[in-house]
Amino acid sequence: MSAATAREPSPPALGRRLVPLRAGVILQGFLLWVPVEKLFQVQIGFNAASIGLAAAAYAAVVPLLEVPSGILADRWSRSKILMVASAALAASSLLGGLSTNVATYIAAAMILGVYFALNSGTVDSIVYDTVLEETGSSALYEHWIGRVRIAEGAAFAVSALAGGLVAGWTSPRLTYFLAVPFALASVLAFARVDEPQLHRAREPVALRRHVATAFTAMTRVPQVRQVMLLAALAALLAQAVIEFGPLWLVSLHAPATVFGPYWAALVATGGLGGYLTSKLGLGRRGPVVLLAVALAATPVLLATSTSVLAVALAQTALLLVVAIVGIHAGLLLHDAVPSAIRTGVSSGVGTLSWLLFLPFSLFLGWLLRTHGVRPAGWVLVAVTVTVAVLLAASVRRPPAPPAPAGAGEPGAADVGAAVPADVACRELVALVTDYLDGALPAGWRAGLDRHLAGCDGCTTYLQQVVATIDALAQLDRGQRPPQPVAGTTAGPDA
Amino acid sequence: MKGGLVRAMASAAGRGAANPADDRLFQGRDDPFPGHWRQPPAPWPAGLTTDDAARQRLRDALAGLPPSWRAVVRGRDVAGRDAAEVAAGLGLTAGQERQIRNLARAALRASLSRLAR
Repeated sequence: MSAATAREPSPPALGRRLVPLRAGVILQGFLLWVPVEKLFQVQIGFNAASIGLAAAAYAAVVPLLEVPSGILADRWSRSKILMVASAALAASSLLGGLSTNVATYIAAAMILGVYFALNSGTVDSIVYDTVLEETGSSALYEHWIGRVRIAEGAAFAVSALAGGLVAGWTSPRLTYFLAVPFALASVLAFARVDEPQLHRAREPVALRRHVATAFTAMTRVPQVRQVMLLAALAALLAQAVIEFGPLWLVSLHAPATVFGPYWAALVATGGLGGYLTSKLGLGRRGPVVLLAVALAATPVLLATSTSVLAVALAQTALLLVVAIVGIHAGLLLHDAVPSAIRTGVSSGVGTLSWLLFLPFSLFLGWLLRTHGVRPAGWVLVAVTVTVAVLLAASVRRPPAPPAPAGAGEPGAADVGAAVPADVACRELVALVTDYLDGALPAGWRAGLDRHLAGCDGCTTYLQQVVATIDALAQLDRGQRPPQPVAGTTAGPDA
Repeated sequence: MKGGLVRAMASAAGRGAANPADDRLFQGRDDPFPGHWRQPPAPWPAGLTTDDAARQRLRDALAGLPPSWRAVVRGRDVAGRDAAEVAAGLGLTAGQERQIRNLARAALRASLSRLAR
């Protein structure tokens, strides 16, 4: 959201370290069954109602496991969590491919729920901490998570096209078995991830207090409630389009080969949505209202059209708009809650949308089964109108006060920006090394001096940092350490 | 069962906000003094950083840092090398080297503080 500035270069070690992670994510993305899943489900005896039941089954597993998996990732190992997730993915694909009836396939869907729960947010947090470890700030996080997402999206798109072709030539069942070796290979890739250690060095958070704070913010602050609902409904809509959208094509008797390009177009909207969100200027009323109108109008086609192309385009457009709304809502939420509880709130949004999706998928499945795609299309219109209203309402609130540059981001006080009238303690802590190095512009230096003159806490902090530096300088003098510190691998050593 | 895939892709927006030098230390936007200490650091007892226990604590804390942070601190603060030399050796920009050093020093100071308690 900050002004476009030249991106600082990434240290070579950062790119190298993220190679196994990116490889694992790409391999996980080779889910060849994804574009033809609905065809296969129909072949083994599913109808729209039991498709809804299968969706509800995995939607029930995810929120149950999401919180424990997050805690496990922090206390045990994030890369091992990813390995378990990939193993669940392989097991789910295998069991899905072996399925000849609804019950075993629903079991496979629930194992896939384990994969979703373990995987969600884990890659992001590894990238975030790796960037912080290798650069000392989070400035390059967006860049690297973007690269991971693009690679993942490309893998989805390629595997969608390949899966459609394989299913067309042979059978949809084969696509499930072909996905298994890719998932197993991703286990091996994640085993090679050089996991960041930062979260272990952090002081343990009092979990209960943390959850309580997040819960209070989520339930008591109307603004936060409204944005959370917007984000959760956007996620629900995206999931509904993906889960049930192919049934429109099935009902229109679209050939198997259409499903590959159709799915590829759907997944491409994720990346495109991210790009467009940054270009649209959604802080202003005009673009938001346009977006709300597009959102409410697009699914009308799903309720009225009988053309495969029109339906596929309408779904793609809807998913694109929903992706933009979802990312926009994520940013609004980011601004509305303090950073300490942001992760808690965003996983609250995730849980909320899974819980909403559960009954919604049962209902939509039942409706599709008993009344066909048209009434289901009108239900989607009703949900998008609700989201459009929430979206339009979000623009009414006064713009968030311009946060101090990179407020809350470690070491991100922007010395290129104007010196604030009142330098905060946070900025002194972020800039103390620049201050001691004499690397600050004069204005900032004077601002910090003024702050230090009036702040005992920061004066103490500065003294302690200087004392720490002095102690470090004495570390190898006087008494030689018996050994260089174990595990010191790179760089100059004393 | 593939709907969750898109969910996983879309959830990226809200994530990545966790950060270590965070609001546990400083007051948030809704507090009386945003950006200021929640609890100012307590002064250390005299001689805290000079005895053998402190030295050992520093070595242990240094060993617990990420390798790149350790390399920067060992190069700059322990061995007293030139900033440009250390940064070039690790492929860092001058700014990145300073930011890493700042975070690493903060972590080491915090571990000495725990010794004082």
